[in-house]
This record gives sequence, C-alpha cells and structure tokens, in this order.
Amino acid sequence: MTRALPLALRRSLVFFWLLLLLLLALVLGVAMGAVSLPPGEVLQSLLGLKENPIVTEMRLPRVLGGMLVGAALGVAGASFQGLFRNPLADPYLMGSAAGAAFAVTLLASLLGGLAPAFAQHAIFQSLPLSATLFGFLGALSATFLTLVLAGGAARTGELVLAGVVVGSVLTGATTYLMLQDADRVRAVFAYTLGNLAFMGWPSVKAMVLFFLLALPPLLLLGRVLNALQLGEEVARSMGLPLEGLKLLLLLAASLLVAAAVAQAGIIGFVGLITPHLLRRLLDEDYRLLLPASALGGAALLTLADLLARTLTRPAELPVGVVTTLLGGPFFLYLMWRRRGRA
Amino acid sequence: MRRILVFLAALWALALAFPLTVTDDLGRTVTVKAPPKRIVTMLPSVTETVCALGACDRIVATDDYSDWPERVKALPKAGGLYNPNPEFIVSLKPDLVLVSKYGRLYETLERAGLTVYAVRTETYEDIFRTTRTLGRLLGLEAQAERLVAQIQREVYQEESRAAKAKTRPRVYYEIDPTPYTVGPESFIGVLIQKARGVNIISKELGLFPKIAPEFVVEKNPEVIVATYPGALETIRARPGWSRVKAVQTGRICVFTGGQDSLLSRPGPRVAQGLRLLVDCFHGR
Amino acid sequence: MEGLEAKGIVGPYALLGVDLAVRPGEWVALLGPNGSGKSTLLKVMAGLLRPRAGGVFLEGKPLRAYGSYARGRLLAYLPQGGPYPEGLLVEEVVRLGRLPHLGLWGREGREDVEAVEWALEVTGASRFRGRYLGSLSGGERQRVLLARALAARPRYLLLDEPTTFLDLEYQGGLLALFQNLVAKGMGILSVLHDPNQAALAGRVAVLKGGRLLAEGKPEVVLTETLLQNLYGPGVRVAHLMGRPHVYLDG
Repeated sequence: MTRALPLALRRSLVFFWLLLLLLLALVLGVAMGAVSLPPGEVLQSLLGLKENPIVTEMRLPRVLGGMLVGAALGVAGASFQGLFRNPLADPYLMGSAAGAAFAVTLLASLLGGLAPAFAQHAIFQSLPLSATLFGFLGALSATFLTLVLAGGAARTGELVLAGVVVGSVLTGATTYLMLQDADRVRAVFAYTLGNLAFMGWPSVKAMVLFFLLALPPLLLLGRVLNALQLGEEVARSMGLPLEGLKLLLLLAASLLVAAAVAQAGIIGFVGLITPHLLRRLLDEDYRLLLPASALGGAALLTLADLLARTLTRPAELPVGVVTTLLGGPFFLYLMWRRRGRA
Repeated sequence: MRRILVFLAALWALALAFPLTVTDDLGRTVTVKAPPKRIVTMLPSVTETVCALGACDRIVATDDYSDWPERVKALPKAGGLYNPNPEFIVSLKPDLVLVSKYGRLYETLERAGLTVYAVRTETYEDIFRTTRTLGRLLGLEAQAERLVAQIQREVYQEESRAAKAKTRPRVYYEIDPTPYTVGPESFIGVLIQKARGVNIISKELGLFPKIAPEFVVEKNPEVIVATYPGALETIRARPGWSRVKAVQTGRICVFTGGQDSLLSRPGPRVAQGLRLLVDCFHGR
Repeated sequence: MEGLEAKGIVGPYALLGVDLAVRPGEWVALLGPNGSGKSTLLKVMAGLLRPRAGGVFLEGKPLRAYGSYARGRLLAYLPQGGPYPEGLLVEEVVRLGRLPHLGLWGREGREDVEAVEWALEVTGASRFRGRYLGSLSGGERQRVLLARALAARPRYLLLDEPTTFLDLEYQGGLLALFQNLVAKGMGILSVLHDPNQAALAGRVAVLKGGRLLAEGKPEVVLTETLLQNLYGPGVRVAHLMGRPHVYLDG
C-alpha cells in the first residue's frame, strides 16, 4: 500500500483541499439560504455597503458558528478514536449528549415549558436559565460522572463502559421527563436532532473562547496519541505520564463537545465520519489528524447545515437528520471498502 | 297537555335513536346501547363540548389537561396522551369513553369490554362535526344543533369585528421556539384567516412546519403571536430579528396557559380564541 | 552496581519471591511454562507493574526513583502481541521510539535521526520503511516493533516472546542480532518459551509456579531432569558442539 506521491506533498494537498472546502462552505453558506438573495446583494451586505440583517446577523454567524461546532466535534471525535483506539468512538462516548439532553429536559420541566430555552444565548450573557447553559453543564456533569464511575482515566475499557452506563441512564430519565408533556416531546426531540437556527454573534464568541481554551492542549497531544497506538504499556514504558495526559485529553475534548452541544444540540456522525475519512488520506498520525479533523468537521457540518436550510426551503430540516442520512450510508460504504481490501 | 305530548315525543325519539351504531374517527364501528350516563373524556376539547351540551354531570373522569369549565377540575384524572391510565378508567365502569384517535388506548379499553369512541378534533370543521356527533352519542341532538348555531354566531361576531379593521396585517404565529409555526390549513391557521390576518406561511409548507428564521425576517411580519412562556425575551434576542417590524413596534402577543388553550382546542370556546387574535391583530 | 536487578519480587499475580538480574553485555533468557509468571516478572522489571513485596533496582538505584523519561531512556520494553498503529508508516513507528529522549514536544535532532536509522538497519526493517505497518506480515511487523524499542538506544532491552510470528529464517537473524547487541554492551532479558532459543543466551533463568527453579549457563541449567520437570516426561536433551538441544521423544 505505498503511495505514489511523496508524503509531504500528499499531506500538504490534503490540507489545501480542506481549506478550499472550508472556503467554499463559507461562501455558499452565506450566499444561499431559505431566502433567495442575489449574489450582488450578499456581497454588498458583507462589505457594509448595504444593510441586510439576513446576511450579516443571521447567515454569517450561523455559518461561522457551525464551523466552530463542526470543528469541535471533528477534533473531539478524532481524539476519542485515538485515545480509545476504537474507530467507532464518537464525541459523545463519555455521555455528554445524554447529559445535555437530560439537563435541557430538566430545565423544561422546571420552567413548565421550553421558555427561554432555545434562545441561543452565549453562555456568558445575562440570562441565567438558558438551554445553552444547562446543556453545557449537563454535558460536563455527565462526563465527570463517567470519569468518577470509571475510577479516573486509568483504565480505558472502564471508561467506555461507564460512558455507556451513564448515557443509558440519563437517556432513560430524559425520556421519562419528556413524556410527561406532549409539547415537551416535540421541543426536546428537536433539540436532540441538532439545531443551528439561532447561532448569532454571541454564540460565535462563546465558541471561540472555548476553542482558545481547549484546542491548544489537544493539538499538542498528537504525539501522545500516536504513542498510545502502540498500546498503553509501551507508551508508559517510554516514559509518558499517561494518567495525567489521558485526563487532560479527555477534559479538553469534553469541554469542546460540551460547548458544541450547548450551542447546537446533538449532531451525530460529524465527529465519527470526519476522522475516518481523513485517516484514509493522511496517515494515522494524530499530529496531523487532529487539525485536519477540525477543518474537515467544520466543512462537513457547514455543508450539511446548508443542505438542511435549502433542501426544503423555506422549511428547515433538523441538521442532525441531514448528517445522519448522509453519514450513515457513507459510513456503510467505508466499511464495505475496508472489508473488500482485507 | 301539549307539553306532555312533546315530552313523550322526545322520549319516543330517544327510544328510537338508541341503541345507536356509528362509525368513529378511526373507522371503527361503535354501538351505544343507551344514552351514556357515565362518561370518561380523554380530550380537553371533548370535555368542553360535552359540558357545553349540558351533560357535564355525566362525566366521571377526564384526562390530565381538561380544565374547563371550573367544575371539571375536581373530577378524577385518568392520565394524558402518552401516559393514560386504562386500569383506572375501567375501574370507573363507564358506559362511554371518548379517546383521541392517536395512541392505542382504545385497544386496551375495548378488550376490557368498554364502549370506546375515538375522536378527531384537529380542524375548524371538526368542532361542528364533533359537536353533532357527541350530540347523537349522548342523545342531545337538539342541544347540539343549538350549540353549533351559538358557536357560529359568536365566531361570526368576531369575524365582523375584524372585517371592520382597516388593514390585514402580516402575521407570524410561533407555537414552539425551535421554531415551529402553523400553516393556513391548520386550526390556528383558519383562525388567523378569520381574524383577518395574513399568515406568512403558505399552504405548501404543511400544517406545522419547522421554518427557517431568515424566511420570517424576510417576510417581515407586522404581528407575531407566540404561545409559549418567555417568548417575548426569546424572540427579541434572536440574531437579525430586531429588524422585524413586529419586534420593532412591539406587536408581539404572547398567549400562554388558559389563553393558549383557547387557541389550541377546537371546541365550543373557539370564538374566545378568535377574539384574542382579533384584539391582537387589530389593536386594543 | 551495574545492572537491572529484581530482588525478592512477590506478586502481583503468580510471583512468589523472585530474584533476577541482567547486567550490561548479558543476554538472559527467561523460560517457564504458562502461568509461571514470566510476563509478569518482565513487566515488574520494566516498571510497569508494582510488586507487593520486593523491589527493582537499576544501576543500584530503586527503579521508582527514576523519572519516567529517564527510565524510558535506559529500559525498552516490547510486549508480546499487543496493539499497533496500522495506519502509520514504518519509519514513523520507529521514530516513536525516540519519545523517551524527545518528550512531548522536543524536536528531532541529528542524534535522533541516526538512532532511528541504526534501529532500522540492524533489524532489517529499512527495507520496508516507506510502507504502512498494517501492510506488513507478522514477522516484518515484529521487526519494526523491535526497531521501535531499539531506537531509544536503551541500555537494557526487555522482550516478551520476541520470536513469535517469525519463521526460522528471521528467528535466526533475530537471535544473532541479540548476540550482536549484547556484544556491544546492551543487556537483554527475553522471555522465551522455546528452550532451544534460550540455549543461545548467555544465561538461562527458569521460572515455575512463581519461583526460580534454576539459573545459570544454558548447558548447566537445561538438563533433562529440569526440562522434564517443566514440560513433561517426553523431553530429551542432546548435546551438540557443547550446546544443549532439546527435542521431544517421539
């Protein structure tokens, strides 16, 4: 399985295409939407010559926010796949999705309705009881619960098991709360399918903050993830302080996932497919795979959201439905190819 | 003497009317042997209709959400749409149970030997259809016709009020902050039209579409109606929505709780719901 | 006080009190039936498992006193089987072996490059350096993983069944490599299950039921009595050119 092109060139090409794809997603995302706007007007609005809130207040932050959410999911998915040495690991492995859904449903039942609920406020804005904040806290709490249940980051197998347990229990509790009220069912269900509808500039700012916090440690831990592929015993024998490093990795990735889930609900497949795809193009070198997954996830989610916004316009599909409908068959295709090769 | 004859005639008509075999809204054949005296209603709009027909004292239990008229609140509750309590219903030994056509409650109750009638109360026309059907089922056909006439009168009164208004504002109606809105062929959609509002949603989008926010901003509604708590702050804070005319002029009507019931239950109080909309659209 | 010494190791699992030492320039083969605790002892001496009693000493200092990277520079451990990065190039895998020297963020220098080259040469893995680890056969992969361990230029090499997957041609090459490395001053402790391979080592230690049965030169330790004790009555030892050869009586 040798490659024709020299390695460095191939790797550069991948990143080049990823950036190009991202740029395309940005351009299309701003130019297209439920409302048909002539490209001239879009351009004028971007340059500040003509005012159009649809472009500057709605589409632009939605696209940028979607990129950040997609990047968070992509890099977290890649990190978990490396950490757990499992190509089926997704960003919600530690129970964060179930935790967020539970917290939001709890909020709904406490408030007697989904009130300030889906006002997608940035976490640091004044409205304390927002779904964003609850979703964020719920996701993090579930992750901590998983860590506690597994007795720390030491045993990877225990972590996976604990994550499954926490996820199942919280999902059950969520369903119970949901069914107490017919209106609640619809709204919580919509949340679980993912929704970028109201990502505004405050949301984008919040996401950027979390990125600045959590992305650098992840990117620096690429070499650790590579070493982990040799097995934890070998990695430890080489001197890596695995306990601390694994914990750092988990926390950084979980922070990104919590921020993503808080802003956008639960969007599946992006964190799973992006590293998969890129692993075939780049090697399993996590120093490259992590940043590439960030870029890839950003492009993927933005394009999926574009489809969600335009396929049934002016109605919108939940973006989670689009990612699943696209991601599912594509995943099957990848697996089929893999089997063919073996 | 004449009164006795009328009474006997009514009794005779009643005797002829029962036993009654009808087809319910699920296509099931239902046989009612005698005018039911112990009724369980599992839909709030059905509860309201039965009471409006004057048969409130025949209801022995309702669902969790029935809350009008006041006396109904004291009745025992038999659960909601997703979590009904069939055992409790059976224990009450009712001779007629009125259920929603959604869910499988009717199967369980049927097997227990109860008489179950599934009702659809979704559209505006359903109000009158259901009222007449309930009239037949309860042996109160005359009252049903009177009720129908009354409802239509009240509705017409509100429609005339609306007709006098100078403008027909563009309306955006939000039932859920995801956001979900209503299409013109839904019950609320019909009310919007009767209140002389122009729904920004066209009928191709269906009954309850999940709409793109930028579409709403583009359509620039002059009035926004929302039926969930906290809607005012939520809508105002949305990116790009500060340009919407309704947000700028503050014409956002929020109806929750009891008012929301008026707008979401196709039943005898429909005119009151219509009044809310007329007041909201044409100012008061 | 040179050497990697295990003193009075009790537990975890099967070990019931073992003393074993490897000195620089020495190849010690650790033999024993399944469940005797060979792999466990190896891990304890690599610092990966903590014994319930007793301790491991490296150059006279307790192993625990070393920083983890310092330990990694002196001791290299290669497990039997275990996961491996399919999607990494052979060259990248071997480069990972320099981690004890580079730490998390060090940049590769000339010394690192040279060490990697040497490791690839000496294990014969440079032939497929541009291929992905997942595309290699079991034996080729084993050599790459060994190269990874060697890339750190450790003073002591701890190997668990390094000859598994290798066919005879490569086995011979590997065993010759060990003798070569030992001659240059490395200390090697390898767990082996084949007494004929163990016979090539400088010293043989035999573990059974968590204790050392015997230790010493192969021709002294590998007697029929001992081997029959280990493996059953059908085992025979012949002596050819001064070396013991173990075979099964048909």
